[in-house]
Amino acid sequence: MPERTGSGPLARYAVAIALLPGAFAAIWAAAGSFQLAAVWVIGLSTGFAVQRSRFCFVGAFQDAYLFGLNRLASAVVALTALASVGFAVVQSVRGGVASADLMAALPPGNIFPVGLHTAVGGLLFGLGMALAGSCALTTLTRIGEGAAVGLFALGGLVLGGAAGRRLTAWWTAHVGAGAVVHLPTAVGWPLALVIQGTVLGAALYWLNRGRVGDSDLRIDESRGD
Amino acid sequence: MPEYRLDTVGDVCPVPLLRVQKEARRLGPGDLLVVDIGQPRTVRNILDWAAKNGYATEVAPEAHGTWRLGLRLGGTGVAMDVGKAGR
Repeated sequence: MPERTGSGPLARYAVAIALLPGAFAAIWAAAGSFQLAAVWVIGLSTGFAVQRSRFCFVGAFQDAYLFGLNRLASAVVALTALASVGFAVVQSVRGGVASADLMAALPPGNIFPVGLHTAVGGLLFGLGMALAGSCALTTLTRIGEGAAVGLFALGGLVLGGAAGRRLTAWWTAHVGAGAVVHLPTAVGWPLALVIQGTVLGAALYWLNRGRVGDSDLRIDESRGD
Repeated sequence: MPEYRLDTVGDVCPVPLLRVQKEARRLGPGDLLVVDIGQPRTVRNILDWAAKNGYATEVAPEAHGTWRLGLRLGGTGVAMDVGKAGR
């Protein structure tokens, strides 16, 4: 067994943070885009949070369904609640702006028609995630952790995403668009938020019923990183 | 008190915990199960499951990206150095 060598996690975080402004400036200069550099920092921060918190969408369902462990499922519901508020703010502001451009007039947030194709696509996507052992999000963090299997999953993600982008128009034309369901459009923003909050609150309560203490969140990763 | 070993390095979620669950059924009071793990999320997963089901646990990082986890049925501690449990 190798002996513990090198610097501790805190020193490595310090080095990473010290390198950040330089890398930011380099990307800004190389790409000629402040936005791209900013998106890189946001992506990096998101990846850090996802990796450290062991967050995983597919894990949330697996843990709850297979083992009765609801911690991640609670996190997904809480995240959805938080995102709902954010979307409400953005969409209610953007949605009020009249525009001749169809895409600009739609509330942002990729609201697509629901139909049989949604269920079929969901099933396929879920199967892929189960085989890869990670969702789209954690596939990326696992590649960062050095899991080679993640590269195969990433290849599949890229192929599937590209195919989806090309095939969506065909699906819409030949299989039918189905209904576009957007709760705030149907019942208005205040009621939509109340409904969303009630449903998600009930789900959180149900997931945390009879919950006892969780295990200690910290694990020694001084050699594991 | 027998000691059981399980190597889950390379398994994808949720296979490691499914295997631990199966293996842990063999444990009598005081028996030890030593699990090698290659994913931090799996470590967290097994710790949560163990806490919920009355197992005492101990974790030590083994090498870069692998951890060794000791699991004992009942009691308050694993009372062993998982890092020293030889391969």
